[in-house]
Amino acid sequence: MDKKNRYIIGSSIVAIALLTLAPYFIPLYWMAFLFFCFIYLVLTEMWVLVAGFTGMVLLGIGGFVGIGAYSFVIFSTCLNWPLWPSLILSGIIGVIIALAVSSTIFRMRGAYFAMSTLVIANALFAWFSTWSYTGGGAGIVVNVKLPIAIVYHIALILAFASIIIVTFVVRSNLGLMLKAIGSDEDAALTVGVNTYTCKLYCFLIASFMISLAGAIYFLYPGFVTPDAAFSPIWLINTLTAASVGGWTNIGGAIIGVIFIITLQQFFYVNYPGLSMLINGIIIVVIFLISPRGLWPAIRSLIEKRLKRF
Amino acid sequence: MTNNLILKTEGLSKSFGGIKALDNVSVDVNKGEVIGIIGPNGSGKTTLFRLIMGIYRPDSGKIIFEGENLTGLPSYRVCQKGIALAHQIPKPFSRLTVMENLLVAALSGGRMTRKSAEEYCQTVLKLTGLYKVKDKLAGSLLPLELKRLEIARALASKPKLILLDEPAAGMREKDVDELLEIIKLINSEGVTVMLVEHRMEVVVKAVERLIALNRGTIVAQGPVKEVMNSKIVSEIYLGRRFREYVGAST
Amino acid sequence: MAPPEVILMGTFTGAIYGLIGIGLSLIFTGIRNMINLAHGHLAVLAAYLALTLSSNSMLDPLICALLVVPIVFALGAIIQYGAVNRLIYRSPTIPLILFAGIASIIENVALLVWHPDPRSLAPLAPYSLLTVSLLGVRLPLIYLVGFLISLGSMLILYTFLKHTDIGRAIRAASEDPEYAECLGVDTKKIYAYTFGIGGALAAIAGIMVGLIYLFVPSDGWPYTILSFGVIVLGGVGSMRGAFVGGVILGISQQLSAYYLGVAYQYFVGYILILAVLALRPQGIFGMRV
Repeated sequence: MDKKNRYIIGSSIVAIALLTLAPYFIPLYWMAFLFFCFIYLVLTEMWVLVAGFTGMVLLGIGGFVGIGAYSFVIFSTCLNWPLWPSLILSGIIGVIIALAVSSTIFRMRGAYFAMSTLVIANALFAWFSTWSYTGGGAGIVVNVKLPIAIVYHIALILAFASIIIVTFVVRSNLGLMLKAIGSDEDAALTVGVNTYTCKLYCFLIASFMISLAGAIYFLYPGFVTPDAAFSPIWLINTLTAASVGGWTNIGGAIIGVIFIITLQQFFYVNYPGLSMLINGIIIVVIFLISPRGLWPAIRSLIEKRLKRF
Repeated sequence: MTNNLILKTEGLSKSFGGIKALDNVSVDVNKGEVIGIIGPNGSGKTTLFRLIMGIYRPDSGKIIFEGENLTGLPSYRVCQKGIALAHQIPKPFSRLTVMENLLVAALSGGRMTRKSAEEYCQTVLKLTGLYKVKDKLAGSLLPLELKRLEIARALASKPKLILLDEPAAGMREKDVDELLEIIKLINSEGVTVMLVEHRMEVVVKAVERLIALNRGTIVAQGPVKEVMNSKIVSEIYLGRRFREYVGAST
Repeated sequence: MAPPEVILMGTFTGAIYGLIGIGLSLIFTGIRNMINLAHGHLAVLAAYLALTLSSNSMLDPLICALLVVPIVFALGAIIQYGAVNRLIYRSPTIPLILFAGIASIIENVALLVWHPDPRSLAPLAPYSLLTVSLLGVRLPLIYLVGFLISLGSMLILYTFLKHTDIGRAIRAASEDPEYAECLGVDTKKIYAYTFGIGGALAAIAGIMVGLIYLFVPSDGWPYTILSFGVIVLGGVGSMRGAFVGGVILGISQQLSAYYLGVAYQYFVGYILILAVLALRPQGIFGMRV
């Protein structure tokens, strides 16, 4: 176990060093590829925490991406504030929205909870589609001039932070409570778990990280529209990544994310809709053959084979 | 006398739809005793436990625990005050290991550090005979192990009062003896026990005092022998065969 | 447009929302509190199928509906029988993920086949240009047609659930699936019927909406949310409640379009749903049957 841990830490240090230096020696295309991976890694890790471990199916994940993106545009472009405060504030706005809706949505469980997060995401979408301050449905330019390498590095830091945070939370006492809630919420209540507070912490962490990811993502295209910011594609891509990587698998999320971004980039040139169609098929198929995710199933299969020899 | 009370319910009532599950039930539980609750199916035993635990909210009445009014508190607060419930049908956290199941209960009050909680849970696991399987996923346990886990997890929250809802259901003679042993051990540590049980041989061996419920009201209470021999209880619930059994065993 | 006209049009479109909401509600109560996240997508798919069929055969879209609705019924039954039945026993949230996948499949198939630009069934139905005079106001005939067909579908559904063997089995399975199974009800088969019927109601509503408004492949999401809103407003499992919930949503949308502008009609609808969730989660009328 100790040896395995050392191996993981060693290889992640090498990986981080390589990824940090990558902008200086890889072509732009691959930098964009990695950038998309980082953004989706944040979303998928948060999905693993919120839905995988805690059992809260956050269908409205795109709502937080969008609110992060629009908050950032408002602070940085409309109000002309500096980059860093704008970024942090856009995460905080996500947290404020989450806090504001928490008392309503935490009264509900299961499918009702999931659907109400989707309603919130769509209400935000409908609002930003009409609000002329941010250009309505036509969208708005993000007036922040940053070298692409800096944007890349910010996303890298955020992705790395999300892995650390989820790992840390899952191993903490809070993580234990969250896993208990995900397993049986009523039983958790009767053994003394304050399920409301535990779920709230988990939800706030996720809303902060997802909103930040949304803010950072739109630095790359430099243009925000409600259709892109609140798109259901955020949800479908994250679901696919989590299905491939495993619902409660922090490392597997990396594999899932690389998979979806490869698919997206491969089809993007010819037909963007095709990758989403394939994503849908993948979600359905994986769900039917291995509901806990594809990667954990493959790994246990390999381990079984290895044991036999 | 009142100082010795740990739990007092005053006129608890609860209806579901048109059916009165519990009607004006007042129970006194003394510190350190083992008290049994008997009654036929649907007499309100489980409802009483769920009301005490805060899973249901009473329509009227009060629940007073150690002089403090717990009526209307959510169940996690009730648990943190020192009451724990072992459900009749085990509700394990099936994706967690046995040890983790107990840790959730031990840590949720925020009274213990991780380390002391782990030590305490190990003692509970040894007490309940689950130490061998502590690293197994709860979802992979056998039914009898699950019943023990249910009790162990309730104990892990360090309750002053533990509510056991039909712990012996589905057990064989040998397992029942072990269960009785566990109940005795729990009690000797100073934990008050309330026991809902269907099986008379368990009740007579485990408890000092009995409360008999029928259709949501208390029909008899007092020392075991007295209640078991009372006419109303034998008519409603025990039937002649059981009265003979009790008579023979005493 | 004057307010009485707005209210009447809101009522008529609201009845269509009520119909699609009843479909979602039927699936929710009938199949272990499961939400069909692809509900709106089934409606949009039906509208597209009717479009293709009608423009190729030159038949009226409403006649094409007679073929399209059974197709969507079959699709729904297959989805339930082949896929969802394997998952529902674990938790009501698990099928949501599956439906998200199905929604994505339908949406992107529609994108590939019918392209993203807005379409309508109205050009294929010449009578959609006619207007009628009702209670002293003039409004497009098609609204009235949509209202009557929705109402008719609800009546047929009510009679079906009340008086046929399958209808009785559906109600039994929604009350207590385990007990129904003990009585010899093949719940898996009944779930397939339930989902099929729920999908068919969505299909009828989708074609009606397609006759009145423009639609695009991604409209599935707002349709699903509006159907969810209908059961939030009207209370779960109540057909009358769903009808009233649909009408409230329809009127609120038309009024907000009239006073604030068309762009606000979805926003107002969603806020209304959220407000009811926050203040009265049991629905406005508190009817939980």
